[in-house]
Amino acid sequence: MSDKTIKIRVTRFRPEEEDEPTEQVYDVPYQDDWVVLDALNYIKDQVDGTLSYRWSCRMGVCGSCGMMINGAPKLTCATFLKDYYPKEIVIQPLANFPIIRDLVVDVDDFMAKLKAVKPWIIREEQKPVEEGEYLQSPQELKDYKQFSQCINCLLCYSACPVYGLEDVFIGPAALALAHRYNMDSRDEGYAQRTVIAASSEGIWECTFIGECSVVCPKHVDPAAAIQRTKVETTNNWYKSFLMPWGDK
Amino acid sequence: MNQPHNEYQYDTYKPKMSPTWWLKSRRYFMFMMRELSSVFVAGFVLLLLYQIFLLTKGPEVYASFQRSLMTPKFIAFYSVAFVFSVYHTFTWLGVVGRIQIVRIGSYTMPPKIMTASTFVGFFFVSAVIGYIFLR
Repeated sequence: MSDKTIKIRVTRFRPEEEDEPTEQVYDVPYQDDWVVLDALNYIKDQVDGTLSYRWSCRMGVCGSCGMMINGAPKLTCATFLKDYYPKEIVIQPLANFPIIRDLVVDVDDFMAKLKAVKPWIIREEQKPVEEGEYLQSPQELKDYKQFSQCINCLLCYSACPVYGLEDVFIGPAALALAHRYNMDSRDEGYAQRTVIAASSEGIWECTFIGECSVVCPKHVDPAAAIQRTKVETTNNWYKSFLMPWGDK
Repeated sequence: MNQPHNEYQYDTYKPKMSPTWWLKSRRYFMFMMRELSSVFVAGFVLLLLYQIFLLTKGPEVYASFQRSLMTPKFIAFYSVAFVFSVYHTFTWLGVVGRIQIVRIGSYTMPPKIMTASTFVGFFFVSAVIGYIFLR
């Protein structure tokens, strides 16, 4: 192991001991191929077993290791120490969420909002299994594929000042997933989802700062999904106003 | 500051956002400038509407107001409003390709072409308006 070390400044919050978060600095061996999550795992295994944080897959798929790295929301499994060395790295819990312990945040609010937009395929009537699959053309797949890449890492919520200031906002990931299912040719749940997505806590809270799309590790572009939903719901409103006899 | 959680009864700490959050990154700052630009655009529109209203008061009143617009404070205001209007316009035209999906049959227009077309349209319409009013 290298003789070089790097300072890692970590937010600590132990609710049974303190009312506000504090910071703790750890010296961690520096390795070119280590990511920030490796440094946290080193601290947990070798230095201080009381440090709490979430992680799972180590390869940018599970979306559980998102944290603030030097003030920017990032996946710790995809953020290399070499991009910061020799400067210290400041690791904080994801911004805009209540902190449960150390680097672990409370995501219940997001989970409730995600469920509210019904991110699953809704059919008015299921066809019998013997009639086969719901077929889809490559173009129909392309319409929503980008938005289906969301891993619910919540970096977008952490980067969104609107959510930070008004936590009633449904938020980027949930709205992007609502758009993803609305764009799916097999889905018939547009009306059910739009009641939530186009409510005052939905797309119209978004002021298009666009930072959600900048920080998204999967290039989902939630900001575009929200603006597209704004255009679509506005067009539908005009259509229903001008042609009330048409399809709702 | 600690907030008891309803469902499982655990305490959480919710940090508050600083009022200066928009100074922490260049992108947040530029967003706030885009929002601020609306104030100058609104001011410009109100002045224009007032100018149109003065047309009903006769040529002398209108000419007098026209002269007052040539003072340094109004020239400064119009200069700032112009810069903000251009910035606001460009930020919106720049994202059209990401937002507006145009399909011709099974062909989807690439976002770059959409954005470029919007800018071309903007410059064309501006040139036509400029030609009509400045010739």
